[in-house]
Amino acid sequence: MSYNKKLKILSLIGAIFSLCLLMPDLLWAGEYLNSAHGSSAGAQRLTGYATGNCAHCHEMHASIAGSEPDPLGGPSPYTLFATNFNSGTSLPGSYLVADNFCFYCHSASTSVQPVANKDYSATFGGAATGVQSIMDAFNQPSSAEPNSYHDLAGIHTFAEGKFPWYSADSNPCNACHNPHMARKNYEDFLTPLSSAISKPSDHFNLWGDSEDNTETMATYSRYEAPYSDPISKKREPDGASVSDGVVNTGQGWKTPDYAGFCLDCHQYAVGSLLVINWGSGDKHGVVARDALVGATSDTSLDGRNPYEAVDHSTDNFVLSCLDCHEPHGSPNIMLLRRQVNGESVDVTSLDSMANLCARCHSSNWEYIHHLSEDHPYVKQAGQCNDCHAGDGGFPIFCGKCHFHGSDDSWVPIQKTTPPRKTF
Amino acid sequence: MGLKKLIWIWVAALLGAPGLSLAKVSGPCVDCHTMHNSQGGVSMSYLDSGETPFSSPNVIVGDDVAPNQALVRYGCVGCHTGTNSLGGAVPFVFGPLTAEYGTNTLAGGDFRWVFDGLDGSTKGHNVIDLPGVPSDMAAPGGAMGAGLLTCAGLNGCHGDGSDDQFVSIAGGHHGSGGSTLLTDTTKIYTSGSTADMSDAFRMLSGIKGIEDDDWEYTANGTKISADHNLYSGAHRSNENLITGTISALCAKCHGDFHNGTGSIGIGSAWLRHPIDFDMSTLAVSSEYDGYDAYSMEAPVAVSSMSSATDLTAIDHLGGRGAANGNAIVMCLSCHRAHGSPYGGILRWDYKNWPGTGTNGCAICHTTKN
Repeated sequence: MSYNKKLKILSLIGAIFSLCLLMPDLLWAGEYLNSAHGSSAGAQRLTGYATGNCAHCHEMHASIAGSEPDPLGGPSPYTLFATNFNSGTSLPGSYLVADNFCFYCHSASTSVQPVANKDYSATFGGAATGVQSIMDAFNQPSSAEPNSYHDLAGIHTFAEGKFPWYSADSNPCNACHNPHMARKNYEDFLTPLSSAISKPSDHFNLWGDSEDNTETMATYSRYEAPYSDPISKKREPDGASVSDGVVNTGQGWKTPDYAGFCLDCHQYAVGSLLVINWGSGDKHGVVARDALVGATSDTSLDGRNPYEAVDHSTDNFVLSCLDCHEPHGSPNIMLLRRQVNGESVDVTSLDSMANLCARCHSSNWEYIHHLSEDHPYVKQAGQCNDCHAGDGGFPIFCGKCHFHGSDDSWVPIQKTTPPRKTF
Repeated sequence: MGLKKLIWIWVAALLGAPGLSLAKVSGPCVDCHTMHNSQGGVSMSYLDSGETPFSSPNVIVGDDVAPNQALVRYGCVGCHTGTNSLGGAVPFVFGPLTAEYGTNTLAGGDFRWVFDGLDGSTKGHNVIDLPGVPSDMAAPGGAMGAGLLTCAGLNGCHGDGSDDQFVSIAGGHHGSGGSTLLTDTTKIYTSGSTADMSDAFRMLSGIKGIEDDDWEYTANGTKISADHNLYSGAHRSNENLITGTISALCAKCHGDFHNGTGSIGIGSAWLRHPIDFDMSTLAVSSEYDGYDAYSMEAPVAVSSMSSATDLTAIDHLGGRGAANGNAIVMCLSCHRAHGSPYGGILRWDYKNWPGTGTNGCAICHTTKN
């Protein structure tokens, strides 16, 4: 080998080595350092310790240098600086900081390290800022009916009986979040996603961060991201502009498969909640829509954009649970979002559920049910009161027939046989 | 067989068992002892803080004093102050000015950093024998008050607990206790005697262990080298005090960190970091499966040892789903015994991680990186 050739090879090796040295530390950072808690903007309870240091959450000997920093209270499970979850005393909807270890930081009223967290509607949905912290999200006053929050004690009980890794001393927040892995997903929509969630059945891995998008909404045949701003056609989750009528898969790649995630628990009967069958039970899920009463070409949703513009190019849309629901809590009932498809939602009772449905569907309910080409129910003189009398009314409350797993068996006369799926 | 042959056999046998004398101090008696505490009319004894025989120049000025017990010229600090070097005969634990952590410090670390002040209270054990050492800190997790801790004696770590430091370690330097390993004659197994300090690991009464020949001046945790101490531990399924382990010794002053109902949380969620707990019992799928070799940064103890122990045959494996007794978390997994440059006498720069510090936690907590 000639001297020049040797020199070239050595130079190449040197250049590669030099480039390696220049590569960012992040390449070698582990799951924790990439997490929200371990990052350079992470946990910082104590002075004198680097941001993200274990000591901000854990006191290895229930003390540091011979004394216990605030908050006091002696040793706590998992060497945490305070009790993990107070299942016996915490009151759903009225949580206190001391009820939940996470609230020592994820609360606007804490003195430890207040962390600002907006709700999903504001973070991804374009809504005006609402609550400022996770604890506040759980504590929102419900106008009419209770239970518009994930019941932490209920999660605690359910998870302890279902998931082997979850113990009596675990924190219900950890059912969905692994604190050593969860990332700030609103800051990074690259692939793989910076996901904040871990399936309870797979706690030690993030969910939504797959390189091949099998854990994002793009895994479904058709996920159409809702608007975060209908005027400028901005879409969730990151506000990218996507024109109406353009088949949109990019936003699905940026959205964790929340359906797959939530079903980890909600495929079961959790408390008094309905079992969710997103795969074969709901048209908002994977089930294709149907066309009835002699429909020829109009199998439309009678929807609104961005769905209407691409309605005829698909026989179904698969929604993300978080297209309609908040994960932590909401001022609306049933954890319904404050803003859906770029418009505000005010649902304080079952009677006002149409405020939600009309964000994506035309609100001409008579046309949809009786006049459109694929109307499901014939409008016939003398039969109106079969449905509209009594508590039916005009229009009939959506919730009579439309809810997870529903069919039209409520309809007195014109119900189909077998009952057709109505959600 | 003639007498000459027998004598040669005896000589050969004696030469073949040199390890029996490894534990003993060697060298001229006058290095440590004075017969009359007088040389040319001048006292030969010094306080612990006094002139030291092995450091040059001496950095601590002490006063001549009355005779010490055991005819020794110096106390613990006096003899054990100096700069370690390869092949050194004395383990120095107080390195004047030149202590470089991990370079010329030994397994226990060095008191240099607690002496230096600057948050020094937490960088070493606050032994009052050391001049100027902060004595403002009581033992966390226990009842030992501030300003009491000594190297040996009633309030010390070394020795049999006798009130006087010299008495408590009597026999430790010259006794014949301990036995060389069958497989590595440079190392000594001590059975943890409470009566014979030469048969107790580092003269720690009741503690068994295997001593490295140079006290880890050179150290290598790889299985093939196994150039390190071997500490005694135990696997517990309750919070009871257990004896004979290196961590149990620490518990004498830091009891809450080792045992007591509601102190540790064995059997439920940990309330404090587990000690005397075998990581090998943890699930194969757990992150502790990543602890797959002895780490000099975060070493582990073993539950069984004898003079027949072969360190190069031990697999220190965590996360095996069943106890192998060779991956036991101990106090010394995270801490040095004497002193380190880091708060809490930690083995690594914990406070500055992430960043410039070191994530020693990840040696065991392998996914927390």
